[in-house]
Amino acid sequence: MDGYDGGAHGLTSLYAVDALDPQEAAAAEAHLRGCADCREELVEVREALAAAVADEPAEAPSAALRARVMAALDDVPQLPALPAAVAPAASASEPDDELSRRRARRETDRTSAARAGGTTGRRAPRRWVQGLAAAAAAVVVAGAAVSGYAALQWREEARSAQQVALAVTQVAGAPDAQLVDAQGGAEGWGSSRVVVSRSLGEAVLVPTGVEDAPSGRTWQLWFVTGDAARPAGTFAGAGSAAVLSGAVDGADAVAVTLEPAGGSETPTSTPVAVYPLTA
Amino acid sequence: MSGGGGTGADRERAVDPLAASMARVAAGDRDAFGEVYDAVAPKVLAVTRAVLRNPSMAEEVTQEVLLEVWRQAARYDPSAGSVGAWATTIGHRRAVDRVRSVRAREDREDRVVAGEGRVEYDEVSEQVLQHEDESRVRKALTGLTELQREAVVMAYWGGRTSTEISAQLGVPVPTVKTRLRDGLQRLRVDLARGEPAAGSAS
Ligand SMILES: [Zn+2]
Repeated sequence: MDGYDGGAHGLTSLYAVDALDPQEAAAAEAHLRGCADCREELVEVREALAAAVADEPAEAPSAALRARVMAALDDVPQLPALPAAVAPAASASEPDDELSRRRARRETDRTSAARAGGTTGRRAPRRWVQGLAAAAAAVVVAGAAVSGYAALQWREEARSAQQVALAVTQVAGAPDAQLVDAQGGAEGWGSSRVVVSRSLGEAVLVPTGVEDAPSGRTWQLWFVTGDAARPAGTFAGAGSAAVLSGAVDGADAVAVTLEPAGGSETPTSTPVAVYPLTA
Repeated sequence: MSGGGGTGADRERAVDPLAASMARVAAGDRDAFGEVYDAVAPKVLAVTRAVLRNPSMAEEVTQEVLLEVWRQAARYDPSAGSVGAWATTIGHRRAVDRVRSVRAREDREDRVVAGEGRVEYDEVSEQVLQHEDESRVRKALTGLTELQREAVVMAYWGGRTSTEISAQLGVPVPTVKTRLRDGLQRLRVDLARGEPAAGSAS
């Protein structure tokens, strides 16, 4: 029990009761990933809290609620187990809400970064802007939007999808936005497009028609300048529009290759699609 | 980190009978899901109702949480806690997320009216300790000092951050954090020892 007077370990019990401000909570999560003692503590404090919550509240859950939940099961596909290799110790101890929150937070940062980059709230009247954003959102949510119930159940995913759609709107709405078709696209890549804004320094891939990467592999994005390729993030496949990571800077083109899962430092295969950027 | 009681807590977690049901839920077994539902829904509803203080919103969040349990059943890891604690954690987090966006707005207005913090706490305390779970919660928290208990109830059942609690009690943030930490450690140790929460059959 020593060492409780502050410091990173000291955040854990406060994290367990969700009593931290967002920045502190992020620090606690970062610490938990690397501290087995605190993960154990988190589990025990949560266990103690749950034990203190009444088993039999004054008003028991209604029969109607149970019936609604049971009826909704048909609309909620179950997730497959995480492969052990993919589940780091810290996230295994967390409800996977945290993962989606982290993802959403990342997208939020990205979006506000895009906003901070200039042209705040500016909207080009071009019709394709809206169409494109809607298309991106549809692509992202496609796997999730299974029924009318989706709106509730998939809030996390939808939120993150909205962030991507927002990023797309930002990029596509910039005055210098370019819409670039794939060139020399391999099979399945002919309809994919990249939207890029040099003033915002952002680019987005809208992978229409693209299939999921084969298992054990991933699609990887690159900014190509001359004969150098800079990694710009990986994405699994058709289900996800992707905001390229890193700034466009002076890139001549965006390219996509198929890489081993986890991605590569430099491309190890011929691009399946190249999107030339004009200066 | 764990004192003498740690092993007992580990053992208790290992034999959570719901873990076996969860394995069946992961395979799409609806009867097993029914068992899990009946075991955890009352707790999830109790905690969401305490935080949200709005019965229909609490039911809505409880529904979301139970469907999360169904959706993520294959990802439930018994070594990371009981099914009940897992579901309760998700419920608390979601209720807190929901209430904080509303409260952020309300608090901006509340700040003008100083001194209302006490009333707020009394309200939470009344709801939780009398209307809702009186005997159970009181019993679980008897090992805590009054100040620790106040902080833990405001944080967990009231859904407050330590900053919010500090503003409402007029006590510095580090003091609130210390009370919370000490109170939660005490709660944790009491549970590991099997007291006083286990003695609920008074
Ligand atoms: Zn630690």
